[in-house]
Amino acid sequence: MSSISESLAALALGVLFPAALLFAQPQAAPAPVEANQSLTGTVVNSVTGEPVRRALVSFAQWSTLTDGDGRFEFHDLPHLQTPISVRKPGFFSEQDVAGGQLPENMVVTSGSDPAPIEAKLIPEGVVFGRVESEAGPIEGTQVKLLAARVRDGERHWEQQGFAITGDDGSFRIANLMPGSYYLLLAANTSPELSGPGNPPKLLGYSESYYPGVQDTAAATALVVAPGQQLQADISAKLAPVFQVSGTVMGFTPDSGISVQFATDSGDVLAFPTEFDDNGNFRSRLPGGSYILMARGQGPDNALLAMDMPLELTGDLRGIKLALAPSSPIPVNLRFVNVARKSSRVAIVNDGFTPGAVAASPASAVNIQLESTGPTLRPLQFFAMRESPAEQKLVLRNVEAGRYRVKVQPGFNWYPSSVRCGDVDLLRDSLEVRSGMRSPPIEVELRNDGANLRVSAFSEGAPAAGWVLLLPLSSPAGAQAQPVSVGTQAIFSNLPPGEYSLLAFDQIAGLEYKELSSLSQYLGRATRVVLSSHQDRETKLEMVAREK
Amino acid sequence: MKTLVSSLICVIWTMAVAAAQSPSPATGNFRIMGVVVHSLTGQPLPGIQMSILRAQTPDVLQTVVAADRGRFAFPVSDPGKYVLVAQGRGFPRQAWDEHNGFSTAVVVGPGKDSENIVFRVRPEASVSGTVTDEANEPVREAQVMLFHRGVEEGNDEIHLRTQTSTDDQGHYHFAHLFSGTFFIVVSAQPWYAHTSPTGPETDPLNVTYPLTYFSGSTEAGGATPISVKPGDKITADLSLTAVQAIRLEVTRLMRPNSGSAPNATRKVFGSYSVSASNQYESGADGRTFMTGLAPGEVEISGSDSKNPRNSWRETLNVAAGVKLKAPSDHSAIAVGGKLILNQPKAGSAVIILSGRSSHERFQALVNPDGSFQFSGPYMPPDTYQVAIFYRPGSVLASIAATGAKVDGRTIEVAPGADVQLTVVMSRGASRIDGTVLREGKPVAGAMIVLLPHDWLNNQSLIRRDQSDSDGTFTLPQIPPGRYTALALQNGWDIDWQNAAVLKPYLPHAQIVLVSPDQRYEMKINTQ
Repeated sequence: MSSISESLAALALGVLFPAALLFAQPQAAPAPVEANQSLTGTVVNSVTGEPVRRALVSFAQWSTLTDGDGRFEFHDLPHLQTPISVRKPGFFSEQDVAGGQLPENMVVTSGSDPAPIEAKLIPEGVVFGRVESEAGPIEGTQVKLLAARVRDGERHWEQQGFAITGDDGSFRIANLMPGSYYLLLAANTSPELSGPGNPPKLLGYSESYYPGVQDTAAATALVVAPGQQLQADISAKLAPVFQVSGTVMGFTPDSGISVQFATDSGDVLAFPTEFDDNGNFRSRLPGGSYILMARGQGPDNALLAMDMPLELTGDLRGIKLALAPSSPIPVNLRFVNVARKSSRVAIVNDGFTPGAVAASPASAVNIQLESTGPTLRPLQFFAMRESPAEQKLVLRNVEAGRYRVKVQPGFNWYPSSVRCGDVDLLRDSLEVRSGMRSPPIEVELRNDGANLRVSAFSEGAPAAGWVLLLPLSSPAGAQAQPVSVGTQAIFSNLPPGEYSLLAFDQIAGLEYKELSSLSQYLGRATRVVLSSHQDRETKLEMVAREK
Repeated sequence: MKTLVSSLICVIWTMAVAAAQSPSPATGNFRIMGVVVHSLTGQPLPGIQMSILRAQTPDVLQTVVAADRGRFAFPVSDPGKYVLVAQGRGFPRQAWDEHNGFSTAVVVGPGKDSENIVFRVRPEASVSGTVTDEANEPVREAQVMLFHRGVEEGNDEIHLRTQTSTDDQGHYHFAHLFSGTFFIVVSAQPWYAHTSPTGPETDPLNVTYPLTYFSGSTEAGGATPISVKPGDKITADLSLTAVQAIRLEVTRLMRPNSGSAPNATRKVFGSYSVSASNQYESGADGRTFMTGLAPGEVEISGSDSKNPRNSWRETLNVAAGVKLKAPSDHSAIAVGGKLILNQPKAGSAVIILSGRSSHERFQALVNPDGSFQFSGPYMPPDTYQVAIFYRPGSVLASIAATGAKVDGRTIEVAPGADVQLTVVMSRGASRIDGTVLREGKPVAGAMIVLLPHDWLNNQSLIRRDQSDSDGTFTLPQIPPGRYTALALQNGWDIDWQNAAVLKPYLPHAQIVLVSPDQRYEMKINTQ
């Protein structure tokens, strides 16, 4: 029984409290007494300060459009304190640009004669331009906007917009948040680009970045300010196209084989590869480096896959690709039960049924692979259970690539060791190779983790923001929890060890899993050493982040 | 010559065709030569890029740029058929005398005239415009459809040509159009629409846009045709006006476990369906509604993935206060069956059913064991053409069915029927090579149609071609049977599927009896 009560307590600490903090925004007040309250205000453009007409303002279940002067009015309301939302195509709300976090000034109260509210809309950015080669505008080609976004303290490159050029080579990508972007021109080749000759000179261009460079390092970032319409013309350098051909082996007619080429960025080329029933393929590509990807489906829905890197500087014929079903990667769990002698935390009724909690701790473990590789082809795989109570899981159909292994243990367990062969997966990434069998992933979990509560202060007064917890042994294990005035940030089931702690007023855009991006702050970090089963509280002075 | 300028199917089968080609019988020094001129003015067009392709392959063999006075020339050593393609700024890629995917190939060889070509290249036109709302603000992501009225596959109808969506400025653009009669139709929702299963229906934000035909009508009959001539750059702006949205109460529509939420669609020009609402909401009192509907006739349907016969559809005229109780229409049909190939299956096969009166198409993938089952969306009772998409070389030999009446390659299905189809494929396709003549001389650019007996019920057996520069043509993949062959000099705008239109041509048609696995040669006079 003690293990169940601890599990419940941990669940309550680890899940419910932070959730409560996140949703600690004022809720609708108790039942209205009178419905004679009002709410009025104006919606303005954050850049020009001009009123925004026909913006949709919503307050609880009431909605209205602003008038020609950007004004809105709600009458006959009950007394309510709740967030107000404002939106209009072509604009972002303050909440949108704050990464979904609700700004405090957006929580408003209806009243009998309330002060007018001013709500801001942030105008979208637009990137537009033209793709041209020395032969003229290029039609029907793909351009993509890439942006670095920081999620959970890690920088991820993401595709943020997409367009296909029109008949005059023009493109337009709207709905852009303020920020910096890279503009990618996808590789292309088509008969329309070919020059005269016998045989004709087949031309194309390889993947490039604005303003017309091959390398991301040389690319110019487009910094889009709110409301800015940025022109970015790209010149495509036409170059000879090479033939790539070969044979795929090891499949049956119903395997649904495809052959595709991916570039360094992970972009899968859109132009066709000829492919026949005998596995012969042929394509024409501009010079450059590619990954030739053959995919199909084998017996029992097993992925048939083979990836082959190619450096294309001339015609390449006679490639042989042997498809093989991908080998499953077993995941073995080992639970080291280091139960606490007596439970000092109260059982919290969290709504979970005791039966569900009493199930094997293995049933709560989630193992996930997240690719660290090319930007435009993010991959995720989840380990499946052979049976609910089994301590063995399996990752199937994992494509070749590099992955970060994420272990979410559930209940009051933490992963004390995650290894694959010689690789320590708590620190390093997992490499999966085409056609190679991977050793099993061995996960050791312990339940003697420590709990830490942190309150933050600014010049002696309680303050709101975020607390960062940085394990000295593995920077990738860094985590952040919100803290608000009068509540604590709570970290549960922490592996015993040494940690650095920092409190920030805000962490948007902070790559806290990358130690170098914290170097200017580390001098102000507080060190704590946590031991098995320890419950500890600490106080931190808030660090104001430079924007 | 069937022109395969950018066909996916052609790409897949290219290598098989290339491998089957026999060595050239003779080589010599030939030329493909001519002038390229503007189709309207007759002006020579130097600078146009001209290419030749080997017929039936996508590979461009040679490309030249037309010189002064529009002249071009290609030296070729192998006799045979070549597709001639032109392209330039303002002139989209087009094959010589191209019609609906067919063109006149240049035949090269001893005694063939390939040196006096006049390529009348057609300039492109475009239709573009801006979609705005009642406050004159751009409507983003509106679905803009371009319909074309004219003869396609021998039927004179209004067809959906292409569609796009508006950008952040409400702008749309259809480029590379040839002349013809077009219609623009817009389907959109107000971005601020606030539909709710509760609350007053007269909420000023409970609005929707009706389907709007250029230049503003909400009825197909009021659509303004846009006459596009070569070189035109037409602007067709549309303003949408929001109307009070209707909330249709629906009850007992969903089947537990396998039913999907209902979906409302509206017909454009009586055939093409666009979404009218997919908002299916439950109020606090447990009542369910389809919200955001514009007034007028809609079709509301629900599908059942486990038993297609439980799928349903109701057509009703939506107006304030109308309710839809449990569907009364139990006419959905279920079609499954078996494909018999008489040879090992290679690659995937798809069975396609096309409803004659509904204009709806359904498709089912054939399983490795040859079985197939149409599942999901409501299939109305109708007469369906049965067609199969499978590798070349095999033809649909016959169909048999239980639960439906078979006529040729069609099945007539009664309401609620459970149909088991047996589709038999065979090799044994024959081929006709022929020459179109007028007063004993070969005619280039004529349309050849091969009609099966009872072609209305055997649409998949119709074969067409365009005669090449020496008057020759090829009709491939013909199953055994009795056919009528016609050659029409200016047949491209004739709705020859219409028996009354076709009647005057029949006395001069030729009857062809096709046996399995044969190659026929014929001469046919053009009309």
